Amino acid sequence: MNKYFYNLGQLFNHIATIYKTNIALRFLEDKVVLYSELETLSNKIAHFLLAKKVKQGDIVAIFNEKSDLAYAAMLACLKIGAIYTNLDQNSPVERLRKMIGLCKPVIFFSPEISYNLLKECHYSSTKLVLYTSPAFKESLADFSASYPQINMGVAGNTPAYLMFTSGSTGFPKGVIISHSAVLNFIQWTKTTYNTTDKDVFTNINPMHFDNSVFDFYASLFTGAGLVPVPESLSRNPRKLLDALNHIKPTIWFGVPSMFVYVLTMRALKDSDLPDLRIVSFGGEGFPKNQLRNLWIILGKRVQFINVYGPTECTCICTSYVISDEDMNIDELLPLGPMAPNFGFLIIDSKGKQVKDGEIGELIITGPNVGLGYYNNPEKTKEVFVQHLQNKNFKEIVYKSGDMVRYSKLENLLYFCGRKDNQIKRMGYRIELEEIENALGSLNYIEENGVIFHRSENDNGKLIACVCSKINDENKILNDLVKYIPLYMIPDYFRFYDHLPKNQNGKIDRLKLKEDYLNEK
Amino acid sequence: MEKINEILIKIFKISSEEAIKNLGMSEVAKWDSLTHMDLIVSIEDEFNIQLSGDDIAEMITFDAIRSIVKKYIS
Repeated sequence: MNKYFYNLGQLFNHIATIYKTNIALRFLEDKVVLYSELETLSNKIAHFLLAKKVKQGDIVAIFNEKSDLAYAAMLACLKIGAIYTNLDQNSPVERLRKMIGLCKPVIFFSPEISYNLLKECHYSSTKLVLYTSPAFKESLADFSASYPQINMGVAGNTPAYLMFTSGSTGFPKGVIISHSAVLNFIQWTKTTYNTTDKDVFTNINPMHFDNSVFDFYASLFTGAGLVPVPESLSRNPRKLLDALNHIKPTIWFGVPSMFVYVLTMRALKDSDLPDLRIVSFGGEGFPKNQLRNLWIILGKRVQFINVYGPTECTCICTSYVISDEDMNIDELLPLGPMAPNFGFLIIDSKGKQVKDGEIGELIITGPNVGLGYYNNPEKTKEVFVQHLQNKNFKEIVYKSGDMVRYSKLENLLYFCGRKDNQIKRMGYRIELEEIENALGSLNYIEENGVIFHRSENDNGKLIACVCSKINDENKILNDLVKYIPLYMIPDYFRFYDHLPKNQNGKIDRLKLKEDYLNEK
Repeated sequence: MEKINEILIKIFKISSEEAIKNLGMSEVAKWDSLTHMDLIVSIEDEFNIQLSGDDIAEMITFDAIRSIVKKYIS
């Protein structure tokens, strides 16, 4: 490959030319889409967007239900330099409104079924494209199938996508990642996973979720196949595995919670997924006893890779290949060494670099560092900062908020907790303040504090401690689902007359947690 | 079966009237993979049984849950 690819549209075009007869998308219901077909479809949608006057840097939103048209719409955006964002159509209206209000999409690709939802969000119907409708599919016949020439002007530093993540102010934050960051990421996945055009990747991760960045780019930009899995099927893991057995994927990337779910449901058998060669997971720690169970079933024939990386740094920054020896240790797995072409610092609360082996905040440097939060200069300024040791020229690094320690001898990073109140649940990043803000917006809740407790064998429980005029859990739940998604909804409510405060007059989360554990 | 209803009420935050109906996964707002896992673990703990993977896969309505658990405890 001696061509110069400075944007993702060019790389996909190149891959689709070389592997034109390879299967790009293998749907569970036996339908397949070849690379040549996906290239044509995405070119047509690119011309459709250009006809709609979509310009470089414009936001295009997608309710992505993993159809060929949805993937093609993402590729079309990449080709013309528009920024795509996959939004969750199961998000509550209020949250969607905030996201739409923040990024102001010039076009919204939506399945017909979500038309009313977007109306509730007051999204302009003139910008709405019901891409599952026969009318839209027919209209594509009028557009050229040729590669859009405008692509030449899409530079590497152009934003490729916007990925929303939880925000502590109650407003989700939109992370912006550039074409060049993703090009670097693709090269890294190719080397780390030894990907070839014979590989078949699962796409179980929802497209609005950061882990899907791996599924989409590690497969479709290397000539491999991708298996779109609908969200409804992932709730029934035995049926999911029966469907996957038919397709025989080779690489499965997911959150540990998904694997724990599959194991708890006793859905995985020794004979499942005979062609699987890599299981990879990240987004949260994998509870060791459950990992051992997975190792017993698959460990002899499948390579296990643990990965770590914030959304702000293009999905993955570290990787660690798991061995038999790791099963004898009770602690969580190491995050791994930092990926080549990346750098890091570990700093204390005063911003000074800690000594080897000491715990501090992980600062990530290198080409995968994102461009900031969309339309949010305050939050961007807080965490995308000048390199603390570089006084000579501008070098933006990302303050992860993750507390880690580094063992120089092993060249491994270890996760030690968070600096703030961010937690991970089912791999989803949640700022506890976002739940508190949602509770606070209910006019009968006087004050509240949300805590998280995770024991060895569960995915963690969210406990809302509230001081409320109405002590009715069901009423609060019914009201809360209008503001936050299901994975943020508290499992338990504890009612207080007054919430305990610390010396600064702030709600004392430690005391709340202590109360909960004592009662438990 | 009273105990199963109690588990359904507690996990899915539903009323006792709803618990005796035959509701399915898509009809219960809080029935997602997290609560499904809680459901299976609670039933196994309560009745001291170990459900098979195939039976768990069928437990997608309240009636199916009741009849599968009955099979294990009778």
